[in-house]
Parts: sequence; structure tokens; C-alpha cells
Amino acid sequence: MEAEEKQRTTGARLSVTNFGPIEKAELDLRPLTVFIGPSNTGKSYLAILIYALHRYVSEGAGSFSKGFDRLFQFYRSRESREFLGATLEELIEVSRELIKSAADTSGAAEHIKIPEAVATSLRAFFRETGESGLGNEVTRCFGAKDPAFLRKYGAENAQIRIRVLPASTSETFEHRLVLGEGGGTFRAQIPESMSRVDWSEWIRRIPRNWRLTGMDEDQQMDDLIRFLGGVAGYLHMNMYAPLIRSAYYLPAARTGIMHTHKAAVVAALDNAAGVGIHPSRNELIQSRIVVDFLKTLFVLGRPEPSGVDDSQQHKPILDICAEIETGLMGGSVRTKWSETIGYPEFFYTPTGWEVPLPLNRTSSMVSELSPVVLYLRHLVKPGNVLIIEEPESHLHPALQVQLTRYLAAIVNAGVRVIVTTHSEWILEELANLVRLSSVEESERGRIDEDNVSLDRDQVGAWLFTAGESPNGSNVEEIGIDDDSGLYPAGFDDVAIALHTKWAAIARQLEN
Amino acid sequence: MANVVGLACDEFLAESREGKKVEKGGCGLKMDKLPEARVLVDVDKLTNLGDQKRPDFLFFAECRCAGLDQSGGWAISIEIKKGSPNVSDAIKQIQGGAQIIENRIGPDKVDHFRALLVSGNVAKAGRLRLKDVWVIFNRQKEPIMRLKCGDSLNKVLK
Repeated sequence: MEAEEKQRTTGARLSVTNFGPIEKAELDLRPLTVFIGPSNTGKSYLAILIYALHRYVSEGAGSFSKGFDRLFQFYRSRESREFLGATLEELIEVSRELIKSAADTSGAAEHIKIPEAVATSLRAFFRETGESGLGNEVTRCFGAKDPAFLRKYGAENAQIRIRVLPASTSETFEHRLVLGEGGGTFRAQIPESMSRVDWSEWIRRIPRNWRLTGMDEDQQMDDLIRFLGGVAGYLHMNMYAPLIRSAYYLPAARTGIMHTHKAAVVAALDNAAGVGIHPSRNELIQSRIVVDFLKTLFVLGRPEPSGVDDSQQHKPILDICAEIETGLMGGSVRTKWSETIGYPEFFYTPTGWEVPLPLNRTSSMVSELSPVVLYLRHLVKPGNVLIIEEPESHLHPALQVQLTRYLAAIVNAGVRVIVTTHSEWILEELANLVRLSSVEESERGRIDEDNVSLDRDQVGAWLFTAGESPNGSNVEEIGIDDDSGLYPAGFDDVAIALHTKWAAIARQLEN
Repeated sequence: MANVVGLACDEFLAESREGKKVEKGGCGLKMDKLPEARVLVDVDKLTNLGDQKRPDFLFFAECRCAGLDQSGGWAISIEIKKGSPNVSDAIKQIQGGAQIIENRIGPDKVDHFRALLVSGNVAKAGRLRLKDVWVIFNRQKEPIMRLKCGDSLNKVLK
């Protein structure tokens, strides 16, 4: 029952068809989601899509605050009143019924029907914001100019389907985005009802001065519109519930960017300064992933107001940061905010040193891990999503294994993590951490002194396999093979090929 | 040199049976692109081996490919494990196959001997162990080769 409830409040299933290199994929997002597979099979493509969806809902046009504002504006407009097609008396009746049924504690009905006027207006709102907003967000995250570039080669369009099971309704409903020639189309399914429990919470939020009678007609109509707009806004929020979490993306190029970010920003500013004089060099930086990373570097460690959040909730994450610095990096990474140019510089101080080194004079390992530490220290909170492309980059296998343990600890601290990886070491340690959770708790400490483990249902490992050209790749979930204790991710095929070569050489050299 | 396939048929098939496919417990090998002259011996059916460690199959083939290294008589000791193998046990079983061939066919009748482990995933420790030990056949050290379930046996005849 508890698991079911957890699924209800967090459930989102993502399906894509003919999207980039992917022919078909269907997956649900777990606290730790791992994408494995050969190069060019779409792991990053899917990770970027997930980032774009989160971005759209958490801070883009589909975000609660922006959506709420736009919903209010929409409801208050004359067109909306006409669109609602109801008289004042009818709207009063709808609102009264809603409030009455929400206040009914007799248990007569578990769910409250969504008034048709609200559903109709939401449909129109989604049509407007979804097509332009979500389609644009996805397209821009890939640095594409045209949504049609995101479809698989030879396919008519790319289809993205998000199935959500929010807490506030009894139904699963779908959002469908289709990207192709001429842009995108978006369809959102409006639930027919929502749960009384969640509805009651919403009712409590209604300002006490909202009245249904006793004022002039215009004022009454305004109040009703606001009320129904609030209902729609609340529904809107719940329809995207699992995607509301803020997401942060650490691109594979982060190490290079950490070394060159100042040059990139100078170039971008130079470009911006020339707007209107010279043709804009739009190609300079196109992918939103890279742009967002650069923007984030710009604000990272700003003294106030986004300094280090040392609240109790964030403390476990700060502790993990400190462990990554001492255990993996052999030193600490700090941001220095330049008072003259208002731009941060990043420094690494090896343990025992008194002089900090600029990041561009440190090893690739330090540059690789620094953004992980900085993001966790300054930005990522429990409940957020952290997407890391190839966390193994520039790390010795021993450090990859250690980093996997820290990623597990981050997950256990409440951060949802998505990684793309080619690392057998990461996957093997991950399998160990999952299997460790099946060992009696009292025995785990003997095996792993830090006692870090992950429950099986916390982890989703998805294997991307290349199809025969021109077919795209397919994606399927893989579980741990009980015999080997490993995820069957295809790494053993490489090992066999190497072993065969080794055997042929050994035979020649020995005999 | 006598045809190793004929010798194997004479030696083993009276008390065993010819295997039609290399398969055990749901893990097998494809038998495509193999020499026509070949025989597969299901070692479990051999009756007079006593407690001797033994592999799952012995494979014999005669390859008449003039001028190529593959020409001549082949013998392969094959151990199959659907999942992850116990590498130490597998090594002993494959070595047992080498001894059966030496004792019953004669080492000098075989031009090419191969030791083969067919299995599911092998963890890194097992992979390293497979490089540490050798099977001895005809007083020569032979590395253990690996194939995964579903591979073609012909990959070993090189």
C-alpha cells in the first residue's frame, strides 16, 4: 500500500518513438536512473529530453507560477468568459457545488468531478502553452532550430508521451507531444475528477475574502473566475506533479567548460555587444544544456542570496560534498566571486596546501568532479533531479567505484539522479550496492563500512541497444543477473573479444 | 595422420551418442560454418570415466583447407554454464576433457586443441582467473577461450 502510494505521488512513465537515434523507448524514472549502452544509441538524447521536460514544468512556460499567472490572465479575459460559455448564475452554482462537495466529510464520494468549464478552458490553455512552450523547450535544449530535426531519420515525426499518475486524481493521464515538419502538436488529457483529500487542501488555501454573493456582478464574476482559475491551476500543477522538481544537467563537456568558461562567456558577451551591428553568431552557443551550464557557473557561489544552504535538510548533501572532496579529489574546491567583474572563479586547494590553484591548472579529475561538488553544495536540494553525463570521465576505476557510492548516498539523501555511463566499474559497484540491500542490515557493516546500499526499486538500469541501420535504437530495462551479480549490459562481449585476442597472442608466445 | 573425427567416432560413439547441438541448461552454441567432417560427443553419456573431472562436450572436426592454418584435426574441450560460471571448477572440467582426448584419442592425432568455456557474464575476478591458468594438452599450454551463450562455435576454429 505504501509502495503504491509512493508510486501514485511520483509516478511518471515516459515513452518516445522515433526520437533522435531512438526508435522506441519506454521507461519510468526512479530515484537513481542509469542509461547504459553503446555510443550513438540515444542515452544523452533521452537524458536531455527528461531535463527539458523538468525545465518546462519547473521553470519554463509550463511552470506552476507562470502557468498559474497565465491561467489567471486567461480566465480574467473577456474571451475566457465567452469561452467558458456560462452565465454568472451557472458559475456560482458550479463553484458552490465544488466547495460543498469538497467540504463534505461524510465519505459519500472519494472524488470530485471537474466542472466541464474548467476542463474546457484547461484544454485550450494546454493547447496554447504546450505547443509553443514544451515543443520550444525540447527543441532548444537540443540546440536545434526546428523540431523536425529531433525526429529519427526517415520518420514522419517524433512522439513523446508522458503518463502521469498524480496524487490528486484517481486516473492516469497522458501528455503527448509530437514533433515534426512545421513544429509540434501537444495534447494534454484532463482528468475527469480529483481526489477529495487533495481538493480539501486546495479549499483551505482559498482566501477567506473570496465570496460568491453579496457583491456587484462584475466583482462577483471576477472572484468566480479567479476561483475556477485556481482550480485549474491546481489541476495543472498536479498533472505535471512528477516533473515539477527542478533539474540540473552536468553535460559531458563539463571538464572542458570548467577550463574554458571565461573564454566562452567573453565570446558570448562579445557577440551580444555586436547585436544590431554585426550579424549575430547564433551558432556560438546553441545547446541549452551548455548554455544552462555556463549560466549556472555564473551564479554559482554568488555570496548572496544563493550562498550555501546549510539547513538541516541540505546538511546530508553538504556532508557528501565534503566526503567527495576529501575522499575523491584530495582537496577542496571553492568559488571566489570577483568583486570587480562580478564573475566567479573556481579554485582547488590540495589537502595540506595553503595556496589554492586555479581550476585550469588542475587535473582533469578535479575539473570533472568540481561541478558535481559545486552543484551539490550550492544548488541541488532533496527532491531535485541531478543529471550527470558520463560521471566516469577522467576518473581512474578506483575513483569511479568510489563516486558510485557517493552517488548512492546522494540518492539516499533524497536527490533523484540520472546518469548516462559507459563504465563497467560504475555498473558493477551499483549492482553490489543493490545486492547489499538484500543482506541483513546487521551484517552490512561488515561488508561495507559506510553501509551504503540501494533498494532494488530505487534503481532503474536501462540498456540502449543499436538497431540495424537505418532502424534506431531500442531501450529496455535490465535487472541484476542473480548468477553473476552483474547488470548484463554487454560489457562482457567486449571482454570476450579482448580475451579471444589475448588467447591467440598467448598461444603464439607460449608454444 | 589418421582422421581425428573417425577416431573419435570409433572411440566414443559406441558408449556415447553424437550430440546434435552444443547445448546445456539453456545455454548453447550455433553450429554454423563448421567443417562437414565433425562429431560432437556428449561427455555425460560416456560410461567409464569414473570420478574423473569432465567437460560437457568434446568436439572433433577435420578441416581440409589446403594451405590454411586451420587445416588438420581439431579437438575442443567444451564446458557450458548458462549463468555465471565457477571459473575454478570450469578450468578443472576443461582440463579433464583434455586428458580424455589424450588418453582415448592420443595427443599426436590432434593438430589443434582448444579449451573453451561457454557461459553468461563473467565478473572481472573470473576473467582475470581465466588468464592465470592454462590447460595442458600434449605437454603444451593452451589458454582457455571464452564464448557467450548463443555464439557460433566456428569462432574457436581459428
